[in-house]
Amino acid sequence: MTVKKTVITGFDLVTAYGDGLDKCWNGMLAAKSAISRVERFPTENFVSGQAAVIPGLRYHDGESLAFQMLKRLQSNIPEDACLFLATTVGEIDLLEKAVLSGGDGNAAHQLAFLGKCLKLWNLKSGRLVSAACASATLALARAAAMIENGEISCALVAAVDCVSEFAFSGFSALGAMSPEAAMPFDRDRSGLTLGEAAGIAVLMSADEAEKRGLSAYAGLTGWGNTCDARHMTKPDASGFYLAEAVGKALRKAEANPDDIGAIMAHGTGTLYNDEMETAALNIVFGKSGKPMYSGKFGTGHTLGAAGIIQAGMALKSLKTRQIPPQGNLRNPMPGAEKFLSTDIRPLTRERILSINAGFGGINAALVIENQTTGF
Amino acid sequence: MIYLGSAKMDSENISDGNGRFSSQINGWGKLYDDFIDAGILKEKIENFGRISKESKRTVFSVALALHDASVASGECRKDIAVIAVNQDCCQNANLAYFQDYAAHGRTIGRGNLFVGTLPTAPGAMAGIACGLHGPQYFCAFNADEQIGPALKETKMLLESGEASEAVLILSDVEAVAAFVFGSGKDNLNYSELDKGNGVAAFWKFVIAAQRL
Repeated sequence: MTVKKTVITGFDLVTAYGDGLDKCWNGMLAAKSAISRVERFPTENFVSGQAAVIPGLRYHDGESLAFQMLKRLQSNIPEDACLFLATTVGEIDLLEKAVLSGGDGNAAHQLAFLGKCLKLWNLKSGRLVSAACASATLALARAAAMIENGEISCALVAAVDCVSEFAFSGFSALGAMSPEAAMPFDRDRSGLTLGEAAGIAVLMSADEAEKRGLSAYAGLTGWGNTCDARHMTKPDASGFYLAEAVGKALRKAEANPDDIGAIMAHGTGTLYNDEMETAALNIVFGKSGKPMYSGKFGTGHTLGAAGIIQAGMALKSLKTRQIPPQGNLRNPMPGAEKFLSTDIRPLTRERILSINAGFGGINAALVIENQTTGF
Repeated sequence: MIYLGSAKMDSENISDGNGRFSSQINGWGKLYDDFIDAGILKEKIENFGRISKESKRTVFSVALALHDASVASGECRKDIAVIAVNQDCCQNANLAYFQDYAAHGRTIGRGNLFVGTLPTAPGAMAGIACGLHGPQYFCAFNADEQIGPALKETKMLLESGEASEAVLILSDVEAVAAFVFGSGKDNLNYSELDKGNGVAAFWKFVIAAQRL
């Protein structure tokens, strides 16, 4: 069977910075945070009162936050695309509203949400893909795998998660939230800050894109997924299995660590995640390090949508040849110094690594590359 | 894709696909001890009593399915994928968490209930209990039938070399079943796969596979 290489032909994003990829990219380049006080629900009982929320969304009033976000996205979506919907909580605000008003909450069923999304984009087939905070990256990988295998000709990957009382109360209970805005990879980091976002990516084989006269932003050429299988909420501090996921992605992309020009890190700002991620990257990249940053200082941790933001930022880096600085960084944590900078750096390679990790020990890595590599 | 083994658990019984192990359930603790004694579960699971009923069922089903498939040794388990499919997604767990939170005055949630709201939580618990380090994710399909797309997904994962073996977990409100597949020439009889959904329909299909 001929392997069909996957390219990204369409992309859009909405984050707390506003609508569109450029708004988020400009925020990243300026190291400017979009985190603010949450007004949506009472936060006085929680560790934090801050999140990166998208202005103008209605809460507990009509359509769900997730659906409102997805409706703001624009792209040329082929009618034969298979939908891969990535989310952790989906339309959880509908469930909140129903429970708080004495209802049964069935309106918030994830499959009902999938059905709504298919209708929104007039698509016939789709699936929900969930892998905790690696959901978007896993969905991108599964879509690319199906395209490579010739199972589908085209995919729409849509990733979304919202800032909800549901998630806020849960992360607060777990002690994972920072009282201040998240400080990824900082020595004094104290937890994550939640955020919300939605993004879509149109994927198809390079041949199919050419046949349809579509130009590609980049190729999605490598992916790797592993599981720590150690603990539900605490990652394996050695970083071994995340490093394995990165190794799988590099091998799939027929690349070696030196081919990577930048790392879009998961970097939640929690003690455990950033320690594990730094350990993994030291295993893969050794003493040399690579330019790396986590955008969660500004977008907040958007859970299942985190990977789609990272993919979008990778596209912008490949186009502009720039790597954003690490925002909200005062003192790099030990082991991460060689990866981080508070300055914008030039992109000197054609491949970008994007990584995510999630509860349950799920690890995911993607390689996104310029078509100039001739993949 | 080669079918290697399976196990199914409902509220009353747990059994493997080969019929070598079958047990009535007389409490979680007794079953847990039996599995440890029989070497089906290798290690004690931290806070086992606090995890959800679906996660407990999933842990027992996956452990027994791996035992049935004779891929029980530690090293064999290294690169085994876990794909979980459940039409309910995590609706019941979401409701349980938020109703509890609301009932306690919206002050603080319960961490263990919150972790259980992830659709991947039962599969992840099984992965921890059985040392499964391959790709792990949850899928639900918009199609009327879930089994065909789930099998296709599993097959693709194995054929592309992303994992050495895969555990497909199928759950519904009645039961949880786990099926272990490996790479190689297909030994499944797809004509036996009817349009039915849920654990019972799939169980019928894999039992048919064993008759081949």
